[in-house]
Amino acid sequence: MTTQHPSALSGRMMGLSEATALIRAGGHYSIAGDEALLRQLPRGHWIGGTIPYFMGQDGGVTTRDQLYVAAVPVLGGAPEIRFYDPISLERVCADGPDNGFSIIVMPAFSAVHSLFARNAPGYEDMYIKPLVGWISGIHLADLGRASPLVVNGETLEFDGERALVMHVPLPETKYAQIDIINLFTQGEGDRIRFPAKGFSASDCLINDQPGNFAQYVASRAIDTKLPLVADYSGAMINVSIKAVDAAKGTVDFYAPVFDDIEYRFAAPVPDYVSAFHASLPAQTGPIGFSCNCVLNYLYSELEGKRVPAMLGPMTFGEVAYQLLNQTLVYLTIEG
Amino acid sequence: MALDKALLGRLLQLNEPWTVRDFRFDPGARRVDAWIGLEVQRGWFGLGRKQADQEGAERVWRHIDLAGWRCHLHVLAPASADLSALPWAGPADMPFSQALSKQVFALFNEGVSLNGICAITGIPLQELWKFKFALDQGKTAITDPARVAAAAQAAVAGDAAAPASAASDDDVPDVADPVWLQLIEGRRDIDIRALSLKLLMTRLRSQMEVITDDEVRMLKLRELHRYFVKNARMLGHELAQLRTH
Repeated sequence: MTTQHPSALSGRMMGLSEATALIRAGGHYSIAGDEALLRQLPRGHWIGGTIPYFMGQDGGVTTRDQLYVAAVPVLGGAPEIRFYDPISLERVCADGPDNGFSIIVMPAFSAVHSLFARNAPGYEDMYIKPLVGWISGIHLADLGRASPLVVNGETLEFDGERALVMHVPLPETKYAQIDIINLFTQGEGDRIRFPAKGFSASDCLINDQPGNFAQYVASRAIDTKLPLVADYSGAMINVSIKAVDAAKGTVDFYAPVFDDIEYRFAAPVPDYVSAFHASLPAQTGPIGFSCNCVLNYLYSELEGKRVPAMLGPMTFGEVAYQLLNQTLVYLTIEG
Repeated sequence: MALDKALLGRLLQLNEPWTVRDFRFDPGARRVDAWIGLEVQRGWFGLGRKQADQEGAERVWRHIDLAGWRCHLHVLAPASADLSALPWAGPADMPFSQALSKQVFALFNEGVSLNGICAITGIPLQELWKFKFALDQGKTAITDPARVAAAAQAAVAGDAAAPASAASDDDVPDVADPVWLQLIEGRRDIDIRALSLKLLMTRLRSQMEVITDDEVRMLKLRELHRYFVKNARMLGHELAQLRTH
């Protein structure tokens, strides 16, 4: 297996003119940036999404003046770029190449975002074919005034309702591998189960005893910057808390909770940057894609702090097969 | 149309006391709808007899095609009637008759994609999803009751006589190797490095807890095996543990 240090990055922050020149020179790209900048990019083989938060080569940054541009490793046949609506979304993995990977970008708060979050684990070929990606967003100051978008660089179509996917084939000698860095682990607190999957919850079982989740969170003054964490055979999968309404007795989440798995609130992570460095894999193949969560950016105050090796947009949700929260996702090319 | 209710009943393999009460052909859509219910009981000397039980609400299932015609069966049965052994009926909340469910299930087992099954059967994708979702949730069964006992006996015999894991060309144990059932039922744990396998294994084990039907459980087992075959190159660590058992 070819191994390289994860500093073999595929992307970095750059200005509009440099990104334009790259696109015009050819190649395939995954691009993140403010809508106004994306609208100035030329037609080419790229997919994009709106976001102003990044982990760049100079550290965490909020900017409307720069783009994050990552070259997509094209080693086999030509990639295919395709939109998916709520009806066709369930085909997203099945449509992927037999050997290769797919990068998905979905607009936050859209129907495809919600559908994918709830149903992706049941999609045909889910987990069999690598699917990685992110949820596009907006500057938090623009909430209510702007909408998250995705853009197909081949047609320059901007869309706030459909998912955009680049299916990338690889030669038989190579394969794609997706992994995550999640600094959160299950804490020592109560075991929590929910009766149904969904983006909000009222009823739950706390250590097998019925209770109201909002009242539970409020009564214990739980730090809701800490996500709920489920243990998927050793993979820690987060669900972040969006809002707690103790009066109504409901808690909203940034990703759905599922009814077939047990959660606990995460143990605190005192120093994100140090913990991140300690969690970096020693060796991987070249990085083909990476992104991290805007909540990590905000809660861990990453602006201005350097987290080398894994750069990319700080997003409204991460996709490593299924939708994740507060997790760094990356794809490497191995073989 | 010369086809009569009795002939349609025979084509549908209805047995007494079930009968075709009415039917309708739609040549444009190549669709036949048949209304099935219990035969009206006739009393001696033309005296009517009281119906044994009130009929429940009409239930509709898509059935296997009749010579290329899509077949929808509307069944009016007493609320207390047990329809579970009837191939032309299905579970109350499912879109397919048991016969069609078995046909679809067989296509799943052959690895035919959802779109492929839609193309072969003409079933809308939405209905196929509902069926697949029910399988995953353990809410529907495929197995004939008579076959369960035979399958259980075979499984016991297989466990007793099972050879050690026989690696295939890809170093993935054959799908018949008992290690897959042990893995998917959580009776054997291995150290998993691949994220995709961690997610898949958790989902499959959760589904196996609620799926009781033997054939659906086998479908899940084949899903795990297919994952290993497709991703063998990145599963060296995991496969090495399977080979040592």
